[in-house]
Amino acid sequence: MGSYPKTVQLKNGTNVVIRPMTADDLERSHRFFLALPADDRYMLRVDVTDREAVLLRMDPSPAYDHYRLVALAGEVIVADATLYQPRQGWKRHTAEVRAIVAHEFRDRGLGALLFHELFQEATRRKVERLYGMIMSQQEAARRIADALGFRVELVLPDQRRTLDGELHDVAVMTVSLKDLWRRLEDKMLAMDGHGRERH
Amino acid sequence: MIRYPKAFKCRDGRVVAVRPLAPDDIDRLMTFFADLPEEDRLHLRVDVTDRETVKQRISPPPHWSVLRLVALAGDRVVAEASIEHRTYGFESHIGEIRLIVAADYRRTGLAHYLCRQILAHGITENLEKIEVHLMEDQPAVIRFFEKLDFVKNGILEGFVKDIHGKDHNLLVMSLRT
Repeated sequence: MGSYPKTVQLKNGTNVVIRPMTADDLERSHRFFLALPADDRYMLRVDVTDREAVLLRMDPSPAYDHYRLVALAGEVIVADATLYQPRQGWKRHTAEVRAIVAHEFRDRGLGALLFHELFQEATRRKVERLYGMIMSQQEAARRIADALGFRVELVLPDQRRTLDGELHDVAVMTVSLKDLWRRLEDKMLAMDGHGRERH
Repeated sequence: MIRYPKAFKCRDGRVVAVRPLAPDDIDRLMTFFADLPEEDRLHLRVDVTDRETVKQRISPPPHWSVLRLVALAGDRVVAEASIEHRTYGFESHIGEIRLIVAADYRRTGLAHYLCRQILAHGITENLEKIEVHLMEDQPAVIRFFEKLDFVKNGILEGFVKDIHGKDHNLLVMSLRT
């Protein structure tokens, strides 16, 4: 595990604190989800307006180890990112990544920072392949995944039923952790000392 | 609700009893898995020669509904079939099935019968889609599911490892109920 809590500065100069989620974060987590726009909430796995569903989400699963980080502005959770890895079995070298960022904290680099933390944890856990499961309406998520080198390997038809009762296809996007780090290093080499692309 | 136990007569005349797995079946199950050829065990999700792993495998996780059937010839487990699904959340309309048959009970109609039983259970649970996940290098198993109208959704490369740590492609097949 990385050393936490850590304070990071976002693109607009705001500081947030990143740390693992704890059991004490239940109310903060529930408030975070209640504050999400309805359009975002409807694409989540459970009805997160229901406190019991949020509590269930925090419960450790016997089959999966979930490593969850939260980003806080003061006492307010502004992002939640998770690495889900099977504890054993044939997929033990894979992990799913998921992240949600509060609307007003988007486009500030927070998602990228959280993913970077998750990728480091995945490396420590000897994960070889990462994947994300993205619905077609999740355009921002798809763009981020594309930029990181994830590619669509499989589309599962009618895989998710959103809160409005509609069924949606899900694209399973995967990347090898080795390829992902290589891509991130290439991007850094392509930048000057001020974080801008060299020309 | 489907009633058990049931008796199934295989094509070769042998009769097996089919019923839900009980907690005291663990020893019978361990013998069943130990008797599987290694080539079959290579294609399974976990190391089924490890008792703790098998115990965990048959313990229903919280917020999942699982029906696990065994077929018995006398006191000997000769097949295991299961269907499981989440009880909440946006994928709770999907069930996943698994099926393993002892080598000497293949091509007897037993696999087909067990599949029909667990699919019927899936329908009573209002599942709308049934998935099966398997290693791509099992052409006979793929043909079996294709005959039951499962379609291939696609492959995830190197997504699963066998018990020796070798990578295999994962094939996902599904059936709309």
